[in-house]
Amino acid sequence: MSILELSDLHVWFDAPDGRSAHAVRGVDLSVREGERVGVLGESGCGKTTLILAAMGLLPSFATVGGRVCLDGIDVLADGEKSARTVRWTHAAMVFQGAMSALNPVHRVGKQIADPMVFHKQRSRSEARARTLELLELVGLPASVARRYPHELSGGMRQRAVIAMAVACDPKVLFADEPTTALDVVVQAQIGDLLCELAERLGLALVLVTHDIGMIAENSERAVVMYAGVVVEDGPTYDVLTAPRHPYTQLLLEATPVVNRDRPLVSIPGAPPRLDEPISGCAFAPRCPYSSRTCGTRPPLEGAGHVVACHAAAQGRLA
Amino acid sequence: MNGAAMGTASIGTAPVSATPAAEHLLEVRDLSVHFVLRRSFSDRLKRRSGRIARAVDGVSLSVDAGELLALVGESGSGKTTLALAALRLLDPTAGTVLLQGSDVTRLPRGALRSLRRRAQLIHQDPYAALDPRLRSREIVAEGLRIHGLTASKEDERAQVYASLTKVGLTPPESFAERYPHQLSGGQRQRVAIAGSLVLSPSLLVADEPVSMLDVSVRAGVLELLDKLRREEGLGILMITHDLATAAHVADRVAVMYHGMLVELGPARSVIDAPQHPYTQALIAAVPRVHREEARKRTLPGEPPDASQVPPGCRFHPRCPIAMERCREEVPQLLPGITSGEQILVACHLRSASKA
Repeated sequence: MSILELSDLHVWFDAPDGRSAHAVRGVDLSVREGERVGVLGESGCGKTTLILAAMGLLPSFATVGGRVCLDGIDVLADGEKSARTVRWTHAAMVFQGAMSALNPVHRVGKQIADPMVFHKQRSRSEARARTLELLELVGLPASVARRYPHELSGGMRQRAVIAMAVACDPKVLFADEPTTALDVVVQAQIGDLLCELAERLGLALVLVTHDIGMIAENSERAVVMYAGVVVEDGPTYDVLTAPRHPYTQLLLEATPVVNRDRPLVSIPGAPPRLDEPISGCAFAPRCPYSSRTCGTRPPLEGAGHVVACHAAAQGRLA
Repeated sequence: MNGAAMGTASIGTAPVSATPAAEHLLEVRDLSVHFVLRRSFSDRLKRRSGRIARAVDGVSLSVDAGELLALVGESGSGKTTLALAALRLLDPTAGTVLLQGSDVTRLPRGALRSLRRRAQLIHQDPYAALDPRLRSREIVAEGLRIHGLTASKEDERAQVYASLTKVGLTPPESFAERYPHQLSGGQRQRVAIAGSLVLSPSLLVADEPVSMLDVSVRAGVLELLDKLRREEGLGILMITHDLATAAHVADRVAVMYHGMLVELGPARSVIDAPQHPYTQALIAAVPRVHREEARKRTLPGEPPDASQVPPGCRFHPRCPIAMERCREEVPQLLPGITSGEQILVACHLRSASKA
């Protein structure tokens, strides 16, 4: 049963000068109930845009095409109205900077309780009682409820934001780079917490990050994006140990590994501009395996572990 | 008061160096940087003096010409403060910093300009470090103009182009006229490095030089730093929170915790056989791609607050192997029991006791 279904999703951002950037260029993705999916990509690949679109959170200058079905609800059908019914109760989001996701002038407890009052019609006292349970769930002492965000460390703040996100019992939790602003040790703690919550609450977790390590430790399925499309999708272990797309292969070689002695490589060139039309495979100009067939856009092919690459399909990869 | 007492405790011991050489390019001896925090309302009521944050406390280390030393630690461990004090961008509370043998900490303000030319800083965020209204060539030339190092317009252009070429922005003509917004993140960081190199410094302090960059271009910038020290003989002090990055490019790694050095040694040895329990936890927390490797163990607790220094070893509240002595006595940086002289470690259990 899929809890989140994206079909042929496109997002264009319109610039004031009349041009537009095609940030997401046709993504199909379905996430099962309770599944932990990691979306991996570099800045500008459309990974954040993808989940903002799924929550109906894109700004007004964005045009969205395709379909987003979340827990049986068509998110894009009725504009802001249908998006509002989905947020908090069906899907919630943990943002990158926990500092800016919390309101500095309200106590943490009130901020966790508010969504329950507004979206679940709980009374203040019910919400307050539930807040204490949630704090315990995310490993924070109850006293945190009376504190202000500035009194908490980065890791504690991110825990509070996670408590808020799960307050209204969503089915899907989106996390956009939830650990980038944190220290290594705290990163590992937050990753553990997200996985534990997904298991205990039966949440589907969609983890968006550029950090391969985060994906490796915390997701069971890895989706690799490049220039607005999915280029590879499969079980995390397979994707990271036997990558099939040349981009994934090079990205892994560019990533420093703490206990492996091998030279680092950088990928020559830069990702394509999204405000100009892209024909064929977007990675072809940087790809060591590109050939004439790459002038047409490769479909995602394979069983279980799928890849969008002509060379991989023809068995031309090393 | 308390702060001063702590400071002298570590100043009392002779600095131990992993590689005793005649003269280091940069030598930091027992450096301390303390910040006096603003007195809170309750402090005033109780007539208490302001609390002191001991950001850096009695740190000694050295960087040789052509060497890359990675200073590793969590945020708040004092690594950036240490670097800023080494460059005299902050005034240290105690200790000395020698750059090519001359004491930087005693330099009068007016003499700092020549220091600035010899020791350059690369910032973390090339998006913020470059003036958006200047073209690349103007950014690179700015230092030359300030230090009066150009003979003529042509000379300036030649130096700027040479510097752009050195950092891999070739051909320089095609990058010289661009504004920062017309460059990618990796290219921006290269322009920032070109702006430093043009002054032919002997020391480069790079504060998280790649953490803002995409993975696919990080390797390129790290390679550039590696090339500069090999070919130009630059000494590089690289600050990073990422042990994997340090493992790849550094000769030696210095691990900081709560304002003090806890471990110092050759990069490979420290990564493969870390001595200090904090370094071990830090390495265990690095996520791994290959699952057959040991699953991470997360360290309990939060990174420490520099204004609240625990007595004894600063790591003891989070340490899995802490004992009574660790709560009372500050451990000194000494050769490890199993590693020998190669790795210096500040731990009562892991370092050889003073004979």
